[in-house]
Amino acid sequence: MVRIIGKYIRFNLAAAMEYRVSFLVQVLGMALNNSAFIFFWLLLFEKVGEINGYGFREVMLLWSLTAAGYGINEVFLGNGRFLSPIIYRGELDVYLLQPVPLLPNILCSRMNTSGWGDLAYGIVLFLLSQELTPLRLLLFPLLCLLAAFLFSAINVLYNSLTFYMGNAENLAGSVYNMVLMFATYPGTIFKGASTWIMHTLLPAALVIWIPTELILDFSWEKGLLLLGADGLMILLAILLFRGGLKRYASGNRMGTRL
Amino acid sequence: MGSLRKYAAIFRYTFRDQLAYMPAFITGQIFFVVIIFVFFSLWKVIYGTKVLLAGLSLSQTLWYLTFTETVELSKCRIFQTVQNEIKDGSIAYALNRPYSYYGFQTARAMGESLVKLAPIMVLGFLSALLFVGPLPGYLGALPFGLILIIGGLLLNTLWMLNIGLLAFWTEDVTPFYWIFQKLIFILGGMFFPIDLFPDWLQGTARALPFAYSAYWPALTMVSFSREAFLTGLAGQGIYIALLTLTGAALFRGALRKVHVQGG
Repeated sequence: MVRIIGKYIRFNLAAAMEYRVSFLVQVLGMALNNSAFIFFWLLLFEKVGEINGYGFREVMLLWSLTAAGYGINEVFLGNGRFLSPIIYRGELDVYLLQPVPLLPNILCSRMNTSGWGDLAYGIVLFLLSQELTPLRLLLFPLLCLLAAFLFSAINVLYNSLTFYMGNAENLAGSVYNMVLMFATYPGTIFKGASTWIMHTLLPAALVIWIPTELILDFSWEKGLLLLGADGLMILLAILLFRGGLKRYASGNRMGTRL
Repeated sequence: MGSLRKYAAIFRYTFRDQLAYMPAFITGQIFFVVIIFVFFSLWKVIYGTKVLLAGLSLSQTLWYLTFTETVELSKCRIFQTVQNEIKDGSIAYALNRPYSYYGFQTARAMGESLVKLAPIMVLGFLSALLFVGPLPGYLGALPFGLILIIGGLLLNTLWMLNIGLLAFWTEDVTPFYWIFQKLIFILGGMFFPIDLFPDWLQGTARALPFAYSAYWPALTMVSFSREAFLTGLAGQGIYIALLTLTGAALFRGALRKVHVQGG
C-alpha cells in the first residue's frame, strides 16, 4: 500500500510539473490568496484589540493549522472531494478491479495542485507568527496530519451518503466548505447549540480549534480525548463507506484512468 | 440602438435560461445563511456593550455585510467560460458572428447575475432580520442601493471578463481571480466597512475600484445619503468605462494570437 501511495505522489507530481508555470502560478496564487486574510485580521485586531481570548497570533495559529491540514489533504488525499461523482457515475468499477485497498487507492489517486500553496502557506505562517518551542515544533506537524485525516474523513463521510440518498455532492461540498470557514474563526465566538454542531456534524472544533488549544497550552488529557474523537470520526467514515459499497451497483461503464 | 437590441436579447435569453435552475440555486445558498451567522457571532462579540463602532450599529454592520455578500454571491464566474473557450478554441466560432464577443459575454453574465440577485436579496433580508431585526430606512434606500448593487455586479463582470481574457497568455487564470476576489474582500470593504479601517487607509480604499463593487452599494443601503449614492454612481461609471477600455485593448491584443485553421 505504501508503495502505491508513493507511486501516486510521484506520478501526480510529475503530471503537475509538466505544466511548470501553471503549477507555480497556482501555488503562489493560493499562498497570496490566503495572505489576504492576514491583512483582514490585522485591520480588525488593530480596531478591537481582542476577541473572546483570541488575539492576532492565536488567529494566525488557526490559519496555519487549517491551511497546512487542508493542504496535506488536497495534495495527498485529493480525491475525497470527488467521491460522489465517482460513485454516481459508476466509476468505482475501475478502482474495485485493482488489487490494493480500495479507499486509500481512491483518495490518493488525485493531487489538487493549489493544495501545495496552502501547505507552504500554513508552514511559513506558523514559523513566522508563533513563538517556537521544541514542543510546538513537534506538535504542529502531527496536528496538521491529524487535521488532514479529519478533512478527508469529512469528505468520505458525507460523500458516502451518495450510496444511500442519490447525489450528496452538494451537501458534502457545503459541509467541507463550512468546516473550513468555521475553522478559521475563533471558536469562542460561537455559543449554545452551534458549538455542539461544531463538535459533531460540522466538526471544526475537532479539526482545528482543539488542536490550536493544544499547541497553545498542551495537556495529555485533552490530547488523548482529541485522538479518541478523531478516531471515532474516521471509523464512522470508513464504516459508512463500506456499508454503502454493499449497495453499489456497477454502471457497466467502460473507462480507463490515464 | 439596433446593436444594443441584440445584447438585450442575449441578456433576456440567459435570464430565462437561468430561471430554470432557480430551485437548485436557492437550495445551494444555505452557505449564505451560514456566512451571515458567522458574521453575526463575530460582530456580536466585537460590539459587546458598544452601541456604535465607526458610526455604525451592530444591526447596520450585519446588514452591510449582507449586502456586500449579496453582490459577491450573485456574480457569474464568467472568467471560467472565457478561459475554457480560449483553451478549447471554441472562441474562434464566436469571432465571425455579428456581435462583439465582449458585449455578448457581458450581457450573458449580467443575465445570470440578475437572476441570482433576487433570491439572494430575499434570503439576505430574512437572515439579517432573524439575527438583528429590521434595518431602519430599508425601503427608502432600496431603489438607490439596488442601482449601485447592479452597478457593482457589472463592475465585477468586467473584471472577470478581463481576467478570463488573460487565458490568451497564461495556462490558468484562476489565481488572478483569487487575487481579485481577495482585493474586493479586504480593500473593497466586503468583510468589514471601510469606516473601520485605520485612518491612513480609508481615503485610498474608498477611491479604489474594489470599493465600488462592495462598500458604496452596501453603505448606500444601510446609511443612505444622496452624497454616498452619487459618489458610488460616479465612481462606478468611471471604473466601468476604464475596465471596458482595458478589456477592448486586451481583446485586440489577444486576437493577434488567434490562428484559425480549417473547419
